[in-house]
Amino acid sequence: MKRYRDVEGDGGSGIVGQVTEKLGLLNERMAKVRRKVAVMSGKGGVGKSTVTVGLASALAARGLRVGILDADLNGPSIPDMMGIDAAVEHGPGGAIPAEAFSIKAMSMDLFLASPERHVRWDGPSETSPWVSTFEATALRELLADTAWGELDMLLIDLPPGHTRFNDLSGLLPGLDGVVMVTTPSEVSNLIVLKSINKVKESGVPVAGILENMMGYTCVHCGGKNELFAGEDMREAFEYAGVPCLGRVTFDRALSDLKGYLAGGKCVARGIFDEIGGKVLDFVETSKEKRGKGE
Amino acid sequence: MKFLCDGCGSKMALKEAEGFDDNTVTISFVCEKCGTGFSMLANPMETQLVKGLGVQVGGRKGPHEPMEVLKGSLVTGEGGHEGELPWEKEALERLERVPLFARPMARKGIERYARENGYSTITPEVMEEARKASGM
Repeated sequence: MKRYRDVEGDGGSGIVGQVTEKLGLLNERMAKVRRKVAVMSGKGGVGKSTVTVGLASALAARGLRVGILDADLNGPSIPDMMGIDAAVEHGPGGAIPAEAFSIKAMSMDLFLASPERHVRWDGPSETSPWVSTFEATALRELLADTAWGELDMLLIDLPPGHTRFNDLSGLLPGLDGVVMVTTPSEVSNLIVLKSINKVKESGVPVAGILENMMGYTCVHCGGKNELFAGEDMREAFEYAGVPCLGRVTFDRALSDLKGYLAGGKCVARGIFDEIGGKVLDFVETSKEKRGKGE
Repeated sequence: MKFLCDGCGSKMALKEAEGFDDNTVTISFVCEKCGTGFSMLANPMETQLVKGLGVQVGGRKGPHEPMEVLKGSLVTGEGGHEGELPWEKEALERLERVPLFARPMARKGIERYARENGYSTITPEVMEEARKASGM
């Protein structure tokens, strides 16, 4: 009996060719994006999207052309955080990204009729296995079919867990690095260590870890307090080969990101700038190493 | 996926594909050597898996369209506003107490209640009725 590889060609639909063509279009689009960095954490609620916007703002302030892809397909938050209230517009070169505070942004939210609308695919049942196929394809379309233009940095805000990272690293073999976000709690650090190992296994470099919500300053007495009872993990992360990029203290000013982006006073601004610089240095060094085949 | 003719051992050629409109697809194959044919009927689950890949069964018929899957398969919800009802000043002030992110949802729910119950203006009383009707 003949086996699959004994018969030449495909079933007549040219599926492999169609997929290859789409990946070619993605590569073409991404060739104009100088650096591509994902912001992730295995843990939810650690402030990944806030960190993404904070870093984007810091890099834009350095004069870089920055874009954010909100890859949290089911819980998109970037447009609301940036004060974007617009529906996606389609141009000849693809979907036109929204823009606020000199940062371009693309998100599932821009496709939905209203901000409270949830993401639902047209199909027989939402609990079906095919939903993940649609999500992986949606991620590819958001990357490839958005008219990003020339960018110096594309930050990709990933949802909690590893699923979307798997999709992303499959689509973007040239992903320059991952910024891992944690909060100083034992449970968060443990999950983030799993994420670090996962990313390292995939071959994507981890730029470092950003510790978010590192204590707060009392607005009444000025005293510094901790929000979590976790231990100092910096040394442990370094043993895992991941440097600490910086520690962002809790600041209520960050809960109003539109005000922050407009230049509002916030202690985190300088920290984001410092971390942004480290991420840029990391990507350049990483590119050099890759170029040398190290 | 490829199909082989059991009669003569040749590869079957895709003849035509139709469907997708009712979430199923029928794909017909024919053996170009001996003429044997058969049709594959895909159920909604199988059809969705193919649609989700963003590829076209039977080969691509036209040029690549940006955001094909997002445009074609995402249920985006109601399009636009269905004519907003006038709100009294006090009602708007009360709406301001709802967190900003939840305000559009609250506004829509209150207006829906008002329309269903024959109110033409949103007052604090209508809001209270709507709140009670939702069991809050």
